[in-house]
Amino acid sequence: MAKTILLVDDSVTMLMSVKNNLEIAGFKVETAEDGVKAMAKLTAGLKPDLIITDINMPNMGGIEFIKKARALPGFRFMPILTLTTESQQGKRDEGKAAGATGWLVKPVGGADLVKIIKQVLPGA
Amino acid sequence: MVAKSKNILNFQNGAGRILLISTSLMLVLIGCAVFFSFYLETGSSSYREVLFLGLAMVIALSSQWFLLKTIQTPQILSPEERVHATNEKLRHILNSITRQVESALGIKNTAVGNIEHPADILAATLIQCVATMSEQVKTLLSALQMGSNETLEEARQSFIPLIDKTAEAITQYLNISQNIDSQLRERINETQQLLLNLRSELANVTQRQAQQKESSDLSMSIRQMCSIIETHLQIDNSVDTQLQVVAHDTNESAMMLITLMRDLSDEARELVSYISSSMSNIRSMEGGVDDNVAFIVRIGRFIQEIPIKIQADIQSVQGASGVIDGLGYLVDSIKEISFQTDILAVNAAIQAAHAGEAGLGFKIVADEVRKLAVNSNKAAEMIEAGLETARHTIQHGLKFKFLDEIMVQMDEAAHVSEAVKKLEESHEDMRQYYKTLFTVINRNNTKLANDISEILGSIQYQDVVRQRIERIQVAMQRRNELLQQFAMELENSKGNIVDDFAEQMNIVLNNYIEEESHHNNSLNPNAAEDQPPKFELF
Repeated sequence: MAKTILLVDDSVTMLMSVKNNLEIAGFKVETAEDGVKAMAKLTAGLKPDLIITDINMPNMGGIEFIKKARALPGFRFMPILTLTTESQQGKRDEGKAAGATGWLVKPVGGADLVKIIKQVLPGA
Repeated sequence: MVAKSKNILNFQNGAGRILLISTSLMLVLIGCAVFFSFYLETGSSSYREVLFLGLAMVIALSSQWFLLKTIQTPQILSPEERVHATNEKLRHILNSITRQVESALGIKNTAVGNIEHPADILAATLIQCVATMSEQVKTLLSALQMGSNETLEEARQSFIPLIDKTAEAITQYLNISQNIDSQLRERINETQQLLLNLRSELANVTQRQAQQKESSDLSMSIRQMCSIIETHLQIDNSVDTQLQVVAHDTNESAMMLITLMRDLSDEARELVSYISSSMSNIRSMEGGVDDNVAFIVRIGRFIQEIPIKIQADIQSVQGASGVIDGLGYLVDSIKEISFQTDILAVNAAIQAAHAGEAGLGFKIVADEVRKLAVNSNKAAEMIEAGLETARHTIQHGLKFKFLDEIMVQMDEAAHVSEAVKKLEESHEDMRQYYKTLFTVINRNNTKLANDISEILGSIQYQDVVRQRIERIQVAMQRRNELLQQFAMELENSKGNIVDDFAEQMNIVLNNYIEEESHHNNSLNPNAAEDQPPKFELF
């Protein structure tokens, strides 16, 4: 059965490109434009196998979203990757403290992204 | 201004003349005094010498004082609105002073006979006395050189009235000079005050004009600067609009690329699916083809065996023909037996007839035997006809170039075998070809899928570019706000800027640089080395 990935980014281009990339690779992809909408999907019952989120977003940024998602029951050990243009160590530390599993700096090649996802999702 | 300077110069020229004349007089009188004191040793004339010296000193000192005061008098300008009037007044005073001085000194451009002013007359007398005294001094000096006492006495006698006359003239001149001097002092004081006022006002005017010029220049500079800032902001707005257009266009293009890539991927997947399905069908068909090939091979072998079989059949047929021929002999034997049986039956019937009643039974047997003989003959004829037909059929069948046809069929059978072999080889080639084709298509499709995946990944650059543009726009917006504020304050305060816009602008710059340093910069390899890795698992 195809693994489900929740993709959170305020850029429609990012959502479309990564979504298509992952779908071609055989994943099922759900999308949200910011942290608020992503939280709404999670609280509505969506249980993805992996979350990939941007950091700089309107309404609710990636760091806050990770913290809130980690607080939900059943999301404590779910892999959450960030996909952002931020590369500063300080921001990484913030992400790590919030509960991110890994840090990806845009742009990430399609094959690399799938390879990384398979690293954090064994059996995918 | 030029006219004013010219008047002052004229006035100074007048003072110069006074200085020159008074100095000359002083020198002449001193010379005379020295002469009388040391060479003539005349005690009665000593008071005159003292008088001459005193007069000369007074004239020289007053002239020099007047000159110095004139020269040292500072040029003070009147207020701007009174400059013209004061200037005219000053010019008038100066002209008047000049006229009086020139008149007093007798150097006005008037003929001697036309002199009317007492000062002019006195001046002319003085000049004449001085000239005469000069001549007398020359004479005295020459007499002194020659050592002639008579000449000296004569010169001395003629010099005394001249000195008296000169002293009188000088006394009068001194009075006039004093009068003129007092008038001049008054005029000079007035002039000095006017000049001071003029200079002060001119200084004010100059300062005001300079300030106005500076202010005007500054205002113009401020206006120009405001205009430049306004244009700058307009340029920025245009650039900002274009940046938005760039972000929008790249976004649209990226979306189109994504759609096209997805379509391409779907089509490639469909193509591969179709080819995969075709290969599956080919594989399933391969069994049937193999069966058919085996069947064809068997047919080929069968065809190859046909000529041999036909040869065997011909031989069999030929053997059957021999058997038929042999059966013909049997038919003849049957016919002969039937004939002899018939003859025997006839003879038996004859003998039965001879035997009478005893022979009746035998006669019946003889008849029956005869019928049997006839039937046997008929059967033999029928067999003979059948055999003849069979022989005819066999012989007719073997007559149609049978052997040649057999040879052709043998060759064709050999070709069929070769053709079947080629067919088998072609089938194998075709199978290998399709296998290779599928492998190549599969490999290319995998590469195509990877390429599409990478292209989709590269489209993320659009988001990177968009965010970079947004950061630029934020910095530009902050800078433009500052510039607008700066221009407003510049215009309102006429150049006296209170806030430190340079510092605030630096803050904007540093914020932008700081914000930008948080993100990857592909143009700065050193920065890339310093940056943490692009992928990190915590």
